[in-house]
Amino acid sequence: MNMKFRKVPFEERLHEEINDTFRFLNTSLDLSDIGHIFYWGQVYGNSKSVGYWYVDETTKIIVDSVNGVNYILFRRMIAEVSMFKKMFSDNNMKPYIQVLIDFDMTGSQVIANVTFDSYDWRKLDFDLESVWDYYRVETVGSEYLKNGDNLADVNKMQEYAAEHDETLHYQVVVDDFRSN
Amino acid sequence: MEHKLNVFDEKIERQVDNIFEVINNLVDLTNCSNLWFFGNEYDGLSSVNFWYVGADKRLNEFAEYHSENQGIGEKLTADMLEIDQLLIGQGDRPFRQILINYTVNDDGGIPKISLDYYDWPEIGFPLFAADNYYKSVTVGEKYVKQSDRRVVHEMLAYVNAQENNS
Repeated sequence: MNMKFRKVPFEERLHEEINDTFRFLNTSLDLSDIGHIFYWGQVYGNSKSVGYWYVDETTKIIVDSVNGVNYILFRRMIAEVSMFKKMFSDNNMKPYIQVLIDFDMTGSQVIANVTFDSYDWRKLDFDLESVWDYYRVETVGSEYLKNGDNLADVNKMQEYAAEHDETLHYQVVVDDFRSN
Repeated sequence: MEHKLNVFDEKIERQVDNIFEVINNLVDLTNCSNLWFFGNEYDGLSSVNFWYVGADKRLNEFAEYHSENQGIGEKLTADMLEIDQLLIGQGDRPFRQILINYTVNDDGGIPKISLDYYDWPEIGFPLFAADNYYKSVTVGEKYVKQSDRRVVHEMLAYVNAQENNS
């Protein structure tokens, strides 16, 4: 007999998953000198993409999971994409495609600004590299892109997003794990 | 089981507690007194499962293969892999199977951990027969499908022979 899962209200599950996401980023990475870390995930049919990035305040260089991430951290990031997907389907909500979390660590508490969107970039003919760059530009600005190859695409995507609001925003106060 | 692990490392303990928390957040464990978590790690192929016998004597089992359970499976797999990494960091050899028995009470779950190193495919058993083997030794063979019991008996015979030799 398959196990019956508890139905947890959306806000409660969101709080748990956001906390989990911050907890594993914080255990795997040294976040002590970082103002913001961004977690990004995409679920497109059965395929999932994930990543994180932040700006190193001293070097002003973007540190990016594209350059390699430990396997367990990768599995954990992928797991959250699926957990968010389940959270949406459990609550009969329209599935999201991209999730972006800005963990703001500049204050006394860690605040997570969460955006789920359902922009179908693939259908609109943007490749994954442009999609990545779009979310990087949206969060840290185009000056941190390693090259400007996708900037024209990014601008088109920004125009599209300005005309079509397909986003959901939530703010979650993260339980304090920073001292761990 | 080959090897009983006494949790002495705080980081391992945290992962073991985390597995319980993940399950407890998702499943109503009010009628569960004994919860079993089983993880199988084999050359990058990993699977996780958990089960308990309810008050109605029926087996409640996680089904990782259900697409909507994938996230939970991934989460638990990452915790299991992390326990393995932490053990390796302590100089232990990597395990192939991990079984955690949580005694469930109002405050949470008290874990007992066992590790095994059986290379089932090499010995000649299907990798996924391990699930049935551990279900059989934890809650009884009546919870294993009739058609799967013969293989479980052969695995038990193999384990007994190994233990008598050592």
